[in-house]
Amino acid sequence: MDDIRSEVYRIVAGQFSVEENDFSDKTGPGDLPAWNSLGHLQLVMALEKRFQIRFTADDVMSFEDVGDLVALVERSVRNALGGTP
Amino acid sequence: MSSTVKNERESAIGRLLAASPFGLPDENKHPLFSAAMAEAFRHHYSDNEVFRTISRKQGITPESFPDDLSLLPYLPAALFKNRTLVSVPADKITTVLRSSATSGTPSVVSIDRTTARRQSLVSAKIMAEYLGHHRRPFLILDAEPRPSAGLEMMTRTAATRGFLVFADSAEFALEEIDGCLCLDEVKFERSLEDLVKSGRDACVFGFTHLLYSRLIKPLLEKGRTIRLPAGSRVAHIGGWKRLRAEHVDSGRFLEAAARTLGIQEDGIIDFYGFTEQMGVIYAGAGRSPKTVHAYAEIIVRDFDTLRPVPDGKPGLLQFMTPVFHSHPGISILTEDVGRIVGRGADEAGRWGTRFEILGRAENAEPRGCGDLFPGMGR
Repeated sequence: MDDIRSEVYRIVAGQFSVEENDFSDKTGPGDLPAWNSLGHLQLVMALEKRFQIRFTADDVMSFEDVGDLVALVERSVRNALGGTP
Repeated sequence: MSSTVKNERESAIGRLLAASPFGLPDENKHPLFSAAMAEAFRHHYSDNEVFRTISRKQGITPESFPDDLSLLPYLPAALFKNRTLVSVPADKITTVLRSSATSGTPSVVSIDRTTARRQSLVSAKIMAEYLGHHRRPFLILDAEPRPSAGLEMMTRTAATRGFLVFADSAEFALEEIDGCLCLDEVKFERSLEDLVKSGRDACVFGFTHLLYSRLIKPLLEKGRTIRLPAGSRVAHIGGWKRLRAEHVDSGRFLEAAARTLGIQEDGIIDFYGFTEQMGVIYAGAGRSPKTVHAYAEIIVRDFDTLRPVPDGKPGLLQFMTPVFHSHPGISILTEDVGRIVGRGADEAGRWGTRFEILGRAENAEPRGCGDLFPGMGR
């Protein structure tokens, strides 16, 4: 799961053109200049593509910060692999 | 999840926002809504001098918070044109929304993370009720928004982005060429073909005037029809003023949109909202009136006396909502004219007061939603 965390951080950094040490688990929409709703959708699509997962609309609006996002991706990957929800 | 979010969920406002948007009969909604408004009132009374002054002048304080919410002070929308009203420290502001006033001064509202989180939650819950809970491809009749400069964002951009929670892809069909928004027909046709092939239901989204002038009207003129995949929706926002000038009312728009896009009228959703309460939107499907959800209340006021008028009588629309934390826009008297046409549960089982919008008050500044089109307004 550490791999997922570092990969999510890499994708967030790439999506919003920042360095990985410019943000933390507490960083959320609005904290980074490019993290607006369009950026949010592009981030979601990039994560779905990279991890071969699919978020629901509830998922998309549920996460408040990067920490939530890491947890959501971990859970989605586990579900996709047939693990317990 | 941050402790701020956890605290919010345990607050009166959090409890209201956790409720279903159209599941509360009046007797269940009133205590929840009133407690949430009292909480919002206390915050703005404490942290916003203009709001406190206006409230005191009307004899309303946190200690004398009325059970009858029509007695609560309201701010005219015009107040947001003349000054920046904030109820939080400046360093908490993450976005400044600016309306596209077509003449005179635009409205400006400041948004913090708490407000943004509530706006996203409320608008998504209302949209889901009308568009469905699943994500789908969006075809947007607008140009791709430019990156915002600093904290500022135009309300049209913000409104478009708010809908993208329900997108799993987004194609912007218009291109800005020499200050004019033009349909890229080749790109649009290709996107449509891809959609039809995929068989997936889509959402065609746009500002009412752009949707009509750039897509529906050209299709009518060419005698062409498109068949959107079954279950697709058309969502539009922004008002009728420009279309009224072309003698297109909502009935004619619906008829033309349904015919040219191959969709039932009930699949065409008209959303209403305004800058001072951005994100707190009201929707009507097809020819149905708009329904006020659990997170807001409507009062219609007499043009002259500003007292509440009986249901059915036209007046100025006032909307109350506890959503706004960063600015005191919790009770706004708009320049829009409308009337209440029903209460209780509607045919679809949605609880809430139903209203229709009749136009703008005379002498009101023609505040448009188009950033690029002078004269485009509600």
